[in-house]
Amino acid sequence: MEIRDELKAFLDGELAPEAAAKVQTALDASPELREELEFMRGLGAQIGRQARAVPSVEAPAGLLKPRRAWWSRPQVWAPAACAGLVLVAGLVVTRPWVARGVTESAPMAMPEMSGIAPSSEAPAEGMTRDMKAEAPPTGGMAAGDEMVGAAPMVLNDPNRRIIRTGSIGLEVEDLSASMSMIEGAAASYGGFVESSNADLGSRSRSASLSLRVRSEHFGAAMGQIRQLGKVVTESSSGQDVTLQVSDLDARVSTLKAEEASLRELLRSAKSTNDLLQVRDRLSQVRQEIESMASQRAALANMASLSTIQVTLIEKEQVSQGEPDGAAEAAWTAALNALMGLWQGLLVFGIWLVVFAPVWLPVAAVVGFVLWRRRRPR
Amino acid sequence: MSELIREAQAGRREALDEIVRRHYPAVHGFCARRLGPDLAADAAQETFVTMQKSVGRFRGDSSFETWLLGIAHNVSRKIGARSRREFAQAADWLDPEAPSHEADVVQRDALARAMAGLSEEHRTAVLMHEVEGRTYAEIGRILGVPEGTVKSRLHHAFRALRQTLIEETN
Repeated sequence: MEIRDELKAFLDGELAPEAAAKVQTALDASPELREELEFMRGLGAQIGRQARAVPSVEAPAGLLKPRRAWWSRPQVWAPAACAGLVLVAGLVVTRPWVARGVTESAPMAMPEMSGIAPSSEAPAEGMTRDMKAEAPPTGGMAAGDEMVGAAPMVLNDPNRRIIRTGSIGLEVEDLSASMSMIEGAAASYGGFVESSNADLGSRSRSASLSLRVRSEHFGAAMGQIRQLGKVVTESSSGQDVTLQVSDLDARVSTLKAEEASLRELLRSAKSTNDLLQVRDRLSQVRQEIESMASQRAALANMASLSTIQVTLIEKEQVSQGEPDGAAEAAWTAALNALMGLWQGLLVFGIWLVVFAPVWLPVAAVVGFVLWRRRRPR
Repeated sequence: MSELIREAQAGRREALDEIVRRHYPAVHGFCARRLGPDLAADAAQETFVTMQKSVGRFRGDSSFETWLLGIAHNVSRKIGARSRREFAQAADWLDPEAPSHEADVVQRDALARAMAGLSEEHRTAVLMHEVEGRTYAEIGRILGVPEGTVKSRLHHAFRALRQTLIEETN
């Protein structure tokens, strides 16, 4: 190394003794080197003298903030919150439990329902939460029984009457064939098609039917209809009218007793005035009995025959290529794709969580190594 | 390693506050020289907040203040880049009010121009050594470079300064 390269370090006293001795020897021999050294010394001192002075500032109070707990730091909770949000959004958008409820939950609901409704009168299949929600609670029913003084009603009373209604929306391949199959199904379950309405226009062929089937076959009928195509919407509900029916029965029997005693009075009436009064009351009682009997018959009819509303849409029409249809189809396809994405994300999230014991330690080690590398000090 | 630093590493708040009290003037001055007085307080605070987080990694290889100034150097560079201010500004190091001295070897203007002509790395090394009076080892630790690199930077910086000043005189 050239002596000149060591000159600055020599000047600053940063050379090892041996190297310093060599430079000193060279300096003794060369006035030119001595001149250069002196110039450097003077220049360094001048830079030091002419530099701006920096005022000394004392530390302000409360400079350090209390350290946050690890879990309250944004770098911890922000990704966790994002992941949670994605999961929740995925769950809300895809609502997997609703989809399963429509197609698969019926057998699961059975044990719950069988305690309330016996299989002979009310088959549980096809019932959903709606129905359970509308059935009056046990306590309410018992209280009601005492009020009307009817025979005590227990939960598994085979005389329970439930008006059951269901609706189902289907995407089918062939509209006409599906309609005739539904009519056949209604007949086979002891029922009939109450009304039907088909729109066979050029663009979207669709139909809606209202079926009545025997209550005990409600679940089976719904099941058979489901097989006809792709279920788009489905709901079912039940209204327990047992209380109303037994109330009507009790009132009718009271009125009938009154009728019998009035007839007795009629026979033993002494004056014309008495006779007329008793006959008026008797005809009033008779009217009430008939009105209640017909209400009871109507309720019993509604309970014995369930109503199913079916909406059919022919499949091909959903994605047919006319301009409006194209936009609709694109919209549907995009929505489906979005749903697919959410479902995918959801599945991914679940796998991620389940496999956390496998990947988390690896990620932690990699993260730690990168973190150490970023901070060399 | 001093007891104070061990206590700070154990997370004792009083020890951390005492470190801030002791070293704040040096850190603030260091940042002020690089960023100017208006950004120095921010840089100093960020330096101590970083120190609070990473004091556990200080192993006593250098003095604590040198380690702290290493953080201050990185923080100042970051803030300098963020505020689009040239780091260790070329013109700012010179005090316009400083009186001339009989031992001055060159004109003040000529020195300012020559210093402005240096690269940022060379200028920083010159200022740290001549103005702040730090040893090569300290400068190396603060900048995160080997001592030999500091030696070489200073040598080349002074050579370049001399060359520029000689050319100006001629």
